[in-house]
Amino acid sequence: MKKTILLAAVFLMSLTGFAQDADALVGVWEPGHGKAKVKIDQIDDKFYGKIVWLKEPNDPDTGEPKLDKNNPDKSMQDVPLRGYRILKDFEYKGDGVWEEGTIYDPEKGETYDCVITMKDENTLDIRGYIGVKTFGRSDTWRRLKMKKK
Amino acid sequence: MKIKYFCLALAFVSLLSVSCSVETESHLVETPILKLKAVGPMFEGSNTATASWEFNINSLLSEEFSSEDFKDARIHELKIVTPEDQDFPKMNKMVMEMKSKYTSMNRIGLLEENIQQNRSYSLKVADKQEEVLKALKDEKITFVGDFDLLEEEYYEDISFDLQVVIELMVNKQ
Repeated sequence: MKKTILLAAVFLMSLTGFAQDADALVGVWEPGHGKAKVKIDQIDDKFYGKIVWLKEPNDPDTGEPKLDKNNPDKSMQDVPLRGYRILKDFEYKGDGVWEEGTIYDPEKGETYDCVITMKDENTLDIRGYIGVKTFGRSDTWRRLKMKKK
Repeated sequence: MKIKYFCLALAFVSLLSVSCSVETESHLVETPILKLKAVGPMFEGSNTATASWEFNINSLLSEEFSSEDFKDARIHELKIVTPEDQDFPKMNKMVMEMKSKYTSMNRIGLLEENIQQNRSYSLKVADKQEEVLKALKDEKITFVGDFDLLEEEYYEDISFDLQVVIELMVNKQ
């Protein structure tokens, strides 16, 4: 009986640890180009990231807020880029890796498969690819606010 | 002779395709009024409100239809109603997306105007829709509304009423 309780406790503790590790992705991150800031949140059991700040929020041609004008769905080209959810559907796989998600490139209007790897608590490796991970492109994102130690 | 066989084969294929095709009909299904809730504090810029709808797929239509009869589904209409609250903050534009356990988050609608208290709005429904039927088969859908808060900060929660009308294409009985 004691053994069963001990095993259950260990199992529960490992689950809690897994959830805490998964939550490490939550926060505001800055891509390598520094033109945007992306806030990553959890909705249900998956992780999503949306643009919360743009270095150039307005379209230089119109002076109006930038829109998703390259979206392949014309009915959605008026969606503002600030607030745009560019990271979608990431699941935590353990060992600081989130997979099964996609990243949207608003400059091209294209969506890529994506894997996120946490290098340390303030650095992410974001790798976008089509089909095979090997033939992708990586970017380093930095956490906007350093965690207190 | 060859032409005769060709014509016979053609007639057979035509007959087969007619006999195998199943006619479908369209039904509109309304969700109950859902609480699309954003939890405060919120800050200027994009904020998120969510609502979940859990249901039994076989109860969406009358008993004569089961989920196996469902051939396709599309979002037909998206309506939100804002609360009467006098302190309702200034906000504009709402982008609506939906997801389920086994579907990606897909954009389904857009509202392009200032959002005011105690008003009803119909969102523009996306032309391109993906995985709506698959999401229905998961029997739980989360609707996600992103809106732009125009005030510096707002410390209360906000609840919108959300109702979604879904067009279901089903095999004719």
